[in-house]
Amino acid sequence: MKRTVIGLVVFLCGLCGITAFGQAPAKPDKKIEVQLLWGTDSATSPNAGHKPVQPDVHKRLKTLPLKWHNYFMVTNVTLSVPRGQSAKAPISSKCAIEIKDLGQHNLEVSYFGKDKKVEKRTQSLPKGEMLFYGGNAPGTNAWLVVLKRLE
Amino acid sequence: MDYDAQLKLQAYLDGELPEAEAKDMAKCLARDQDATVLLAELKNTRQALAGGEMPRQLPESGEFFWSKIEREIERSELSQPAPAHESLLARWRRLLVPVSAAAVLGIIILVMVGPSNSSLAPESEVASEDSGSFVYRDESGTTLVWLSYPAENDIADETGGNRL
Amino acid sequence: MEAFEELVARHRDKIYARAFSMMRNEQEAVDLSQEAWVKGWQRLKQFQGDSSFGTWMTRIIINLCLDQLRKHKRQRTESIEAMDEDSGGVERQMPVITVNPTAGLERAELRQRIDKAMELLSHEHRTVLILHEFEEMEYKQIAKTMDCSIGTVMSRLFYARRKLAALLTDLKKAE
Repeated sequence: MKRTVIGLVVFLCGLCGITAFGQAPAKPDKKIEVQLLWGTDSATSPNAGHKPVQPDVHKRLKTLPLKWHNYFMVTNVTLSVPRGQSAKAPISSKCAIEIKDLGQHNLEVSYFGKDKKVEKRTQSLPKGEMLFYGGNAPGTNAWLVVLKRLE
Repeated sequence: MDYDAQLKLQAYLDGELPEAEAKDMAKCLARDQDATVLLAELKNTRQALAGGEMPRQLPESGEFFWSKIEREIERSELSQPAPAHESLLARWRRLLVPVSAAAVLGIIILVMVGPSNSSLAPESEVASEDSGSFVYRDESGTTLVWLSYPAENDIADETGGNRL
Repeated sequence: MEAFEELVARHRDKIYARAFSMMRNEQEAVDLSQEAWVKGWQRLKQFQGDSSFGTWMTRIIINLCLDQLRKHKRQRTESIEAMDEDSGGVERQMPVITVNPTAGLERAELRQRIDKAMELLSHEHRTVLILHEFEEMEYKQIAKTMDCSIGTVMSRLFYARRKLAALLTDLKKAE
């Protein structure tokens, strides 16, 4: 009887151990950096709060068929997107971005202007790749939003 | 020399005067020093312009420029109404193109979507809310989505530099 | 479509250059060039080959630019000087330039000077110069294209030439 009970306890401990170690660790949230940029031919930005773009972003901008010579970073936010869920953050006083994790490297990116969804796109974004959105801005300038996967 | 005469002098220089008037103008030039001097000025200007214009290049890459044109052509063709009378053959031909395109696309997707390697997973694209947008992608893994929003949209306002 | 893409590649700089010379605004010139190519595609069936394709496309871009300039004109107020120019008042007072202001200039420098001087002309005067001197149109053709009388074409061309001579002389003095 004693041997049976001991055997059962050992078996149950072993089973718990296997379950604890064998269980796949919880996947961390996806971290996406979102930057709002301004493209211009002027050498300096009229807004002292604007910063120069990051070197890796600058390098990518140079490979794109865009005509502007200079880019400045207006805002920079990092979104932590839980697996299978979405996260939303403002990128300016009137605009926001929502990112939904669709599994693997796939994301659904939505832009909101004055609380209305104005653009939605599904995109694969592995680490090391970048997604740029852009459009013309007044005065022959351009606005750009760049998404980078950090984790 | 009055103004009308000056304009005639110019027309003479440009070969726009009828023959009889051109002959009269030639006689006038022979005796009017002011007319000769004015003609010389007009000739110098014309000669300078004949040197040609400053060459200019499109300030965008050819691919980018073409992709915008192609997109606009496709959009304009989609918005055109179907012709009123069509022969049966023409109707079949119209169906054949999208059907064969869909078949080719289906084959490509089947071939590409094998054992999924996440870094090679094809990007799936939902139709953009902005029908004027288009996409550019290069080998370095950079994607650019260019939207056709007018310059005065909310995002553009914020990047204008004045409000932040 | 591939063949058309090839045509675009071959002529895009020329069409853009013409748009820029008329509009003097890079973004507008790019947008109008794009529009011209789309129109070119749509009207391809109408192209009968009686002129070169480049010439045909140039006519399309010129008309688009003129339409755009007319829209601009409706939005801006006419200056007294501009109205006087058209009626032939101002250039009567301009002294005749007896020294050739572009003599001895290298081709590249000459083109640069002319470009600078052209920038200072009004749209109407610049357009008439472009159509006559660079597009080699006759008065009648210019009048039809610009939707004005032959008399107006002659006045504008005369003013534009005289003003250009004066501007080139000023640029020479400034060097």
